[in-house]
Amino acid sequence: MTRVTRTGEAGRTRRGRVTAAALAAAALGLAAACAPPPSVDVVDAEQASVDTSDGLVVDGERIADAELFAAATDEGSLSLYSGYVENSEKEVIKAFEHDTGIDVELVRLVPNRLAERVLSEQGAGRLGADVVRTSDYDIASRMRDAGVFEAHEVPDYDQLDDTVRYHGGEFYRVFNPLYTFAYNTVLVDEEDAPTSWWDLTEAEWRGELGITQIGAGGSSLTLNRFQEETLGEDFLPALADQEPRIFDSSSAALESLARGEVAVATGVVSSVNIAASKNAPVNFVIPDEGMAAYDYFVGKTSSARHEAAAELFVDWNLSRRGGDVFRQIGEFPARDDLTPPEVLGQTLPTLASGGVVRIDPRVLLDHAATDQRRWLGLFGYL
Amino acid sequence: MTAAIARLRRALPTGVLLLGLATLVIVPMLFILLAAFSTEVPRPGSIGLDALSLENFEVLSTSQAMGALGNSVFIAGAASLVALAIGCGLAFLAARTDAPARRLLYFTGIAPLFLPSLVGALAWSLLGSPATGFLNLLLHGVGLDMTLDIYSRPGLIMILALYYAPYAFLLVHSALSLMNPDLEEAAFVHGGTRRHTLRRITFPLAMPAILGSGILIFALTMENFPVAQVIGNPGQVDTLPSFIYRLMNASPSRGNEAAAVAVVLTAVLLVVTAIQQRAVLRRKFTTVTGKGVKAKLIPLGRWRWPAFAAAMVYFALAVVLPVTALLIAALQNSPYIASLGQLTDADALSFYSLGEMLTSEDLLQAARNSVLTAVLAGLIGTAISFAISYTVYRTNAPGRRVLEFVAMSPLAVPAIVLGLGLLWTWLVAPIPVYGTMAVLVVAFLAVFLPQGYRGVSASILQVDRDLEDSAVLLGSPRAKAVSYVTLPLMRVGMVSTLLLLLMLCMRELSAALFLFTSDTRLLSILIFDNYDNGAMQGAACVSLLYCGVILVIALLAKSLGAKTVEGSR
Repeated sequence: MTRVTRTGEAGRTRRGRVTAAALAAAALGLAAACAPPPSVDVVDAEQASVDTSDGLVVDGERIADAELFAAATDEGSLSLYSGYVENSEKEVIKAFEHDTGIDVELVRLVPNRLAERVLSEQGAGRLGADVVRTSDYDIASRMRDAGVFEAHEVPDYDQLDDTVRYHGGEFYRVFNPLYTFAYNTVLVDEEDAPTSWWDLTEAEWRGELGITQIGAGGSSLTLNRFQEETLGEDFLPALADQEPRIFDSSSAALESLARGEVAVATGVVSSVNIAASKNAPVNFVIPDEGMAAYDYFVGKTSSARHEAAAELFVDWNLSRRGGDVFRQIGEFPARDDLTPPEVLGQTLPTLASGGVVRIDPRVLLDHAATDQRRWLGLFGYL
Repeated sequence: MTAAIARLRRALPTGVLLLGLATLVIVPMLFILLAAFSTEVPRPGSIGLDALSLENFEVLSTSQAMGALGNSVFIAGAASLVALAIGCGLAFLAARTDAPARRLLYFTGIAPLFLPSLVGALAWSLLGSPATGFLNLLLHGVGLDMTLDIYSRPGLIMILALYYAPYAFLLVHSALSLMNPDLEEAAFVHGGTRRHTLRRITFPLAMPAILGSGILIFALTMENFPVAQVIGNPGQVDTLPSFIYRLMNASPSRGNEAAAVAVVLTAVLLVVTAIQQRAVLRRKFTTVTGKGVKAKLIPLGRWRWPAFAAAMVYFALAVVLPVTALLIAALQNSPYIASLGQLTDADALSFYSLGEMLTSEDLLQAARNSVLTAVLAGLIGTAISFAISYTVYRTNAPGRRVLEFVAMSPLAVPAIVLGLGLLWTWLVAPIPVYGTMAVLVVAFLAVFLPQGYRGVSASILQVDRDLEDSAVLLGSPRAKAVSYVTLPLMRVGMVSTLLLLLMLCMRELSAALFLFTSDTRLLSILIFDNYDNGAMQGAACVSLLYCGVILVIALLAKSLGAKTVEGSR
């Protein structure tokens, strides 16, 4: 500022500014190499061995027979409407395209806006999706009631239990993101990090916490139900007393955590994994009382124009290979014959151990309204 | 019989135009009203009057809604006052004083226009977030024990004031520089002191411009969504627009209640816009004329440099600091830094992410979409505006006053509300427009209709209608006379309007918020989406490019001699 005020006349001032700007840019340029920042690939798509001589066989697992695979390859592409986190869905698509050579055209919206679009297009008889992926049993059910899905049996259909396949294969639960809490590794040492949900209610974390509002979606509702059921009904009032910062979405909370605006925030394991792979100083905690798992569903639509490609996509999602891709991202696969993922050096607990709690969708639905009201009242939101 | 046919023929063009405008503007508003008084949101197959109720308005009785309304009014009021102070002060310095580097001062007055408020808000959240904002790191780095918290009401007010001050600047600057100096001279001749003359003559003459811009800023800040969301939300400061957005994004979506809040927000703006229109109209009766006589400059004496320094502080706050913050964020290798000193570490900054982003398919697609929608909306908008202006000012067709009223009505409708109405309109409409680029073009046409109409009208009024009539008298068909006489004479005005619309469309976020899908994202949406998905670095990268594109359009406009912005958003 002082340099500018000392200069007298407009032209000279501008030249001075330009020089200053150029100098600053040069300094930045010197400091900034063009080297990529240290980051890790979350999913290694190339790693899988693919054999398409007779159908689709990945790592020895036969995902599609020759007839389906040939038909899908002829169609060449499919349209996926997804409510899944965009970066993660892109990792999934990358792996699928690597395995099959079939292009996936993605339309991605947050789940409730996706529902709005799917239901409207369906109502007008113009649904553009071959496959729909969404969280929330409620949303999947509303879509089903509107006639969005068509039953399709995946190869291992008979081995899947009723928490995975729904309505004769109209849609399937494919994986569960795990909702826990995470901390900023620069602000909080690993040994000082909270290890249980109740730790968050200690005085030292007052004003240091970030949480996501309950209206953000099925994920928030699931976490809330888990907290009420597993931690008891005293937990949320105690958490509210800590005056946490409330975020509109879990991604916004995670971003603030990475920037160090809050020290600890509730967050999803896979998102923390992806953020950490991009050099954000964040890590998640496997709390003593466990963590909440919420559902993601996928189904082939009744108006699919790329029928074979759509079936192949659903089959691939439910295959061991598909499950493994979700594991690498940091999600909990729905198939129970897969081991839990190992994320950022931590092996996640199995469902049987009680360390991962999946809430039955019907229970979630029954409590949704009362849970929302109680949460909003406690946290003084909306 | 023939008389009836003749009347019908006369009314036909107005009828067609009215029908078009009704689809653009009136139908979406009716959908909002319907949704506000219904228990179901409009959707194909579920639309009708059988689910009417008043219960959506119950949301307004909650303390949160009242708080949001109070915040909206208070923040918009305070921001308008601060913006007026900045804008008028700068305009006065640049137009009427002997302050140094007045061209630079003029540039300072308009430069923040190149940073849409979304970008300004993002940049300021990087600068002023309480824990790791760059300014706070700087304060702590030099050993000061104080913390700025931008996520607060004062923070919101400051950012809104910074980015809306140019509107006051432009209007007041033109009023001050076009002012007839004879009146001031007369005051001096009769023994008035300089201070007295300023107070009794100059400021009263500029008053309509000051008032008009003040109310315009109030309306614009009141409906501003990006700043409210980016800055207000983390500090739990709700305003009506962010409240509408949250209701729409709740799961399950609370569209009916959002519509009820939208009705209230529109009602407030309707009153404000009515007052503004009156204030603007009043200006026509003042003695501000463009005589081309330069008014005398007022010597500032020892205040010359302090005044200049104050202007530069504004420039730094509105442009230099935010752009620097965005640049640093775009280059940072890790989103976290504990001190500014870390930025000088060997591997702290890299152009890699910026380069990756600039060449990514997402960005290229969004840039293509942005340019395509802006160009289409600009061209079609200018054409529609011409058709309306021509009908209103050059014909005696019945219903032309109604036409003018409808064309100006979007001024009173917040962009976020219009976007919501358009969402339901085009979801229900039998034409498959939702989810395509076309719906975005339609949205921009509707939102910026008043600006387009005003631009073209100003220009059509400057062209004497006798010229066109002479051509007709000499045997030319009317259409030919228009295209060979009137339109060429209006060339500058039409190009100005086109560029103004282009610029406004490029900047717009709120209207597109409910209408885009992942394959029809615009640059503004890409920034917001990145921010919303927690990718601050991506948002910063796109923001930088975005400002660049807007700057290029502005420079283009300037080189084509266009007069930009009056009453623009």
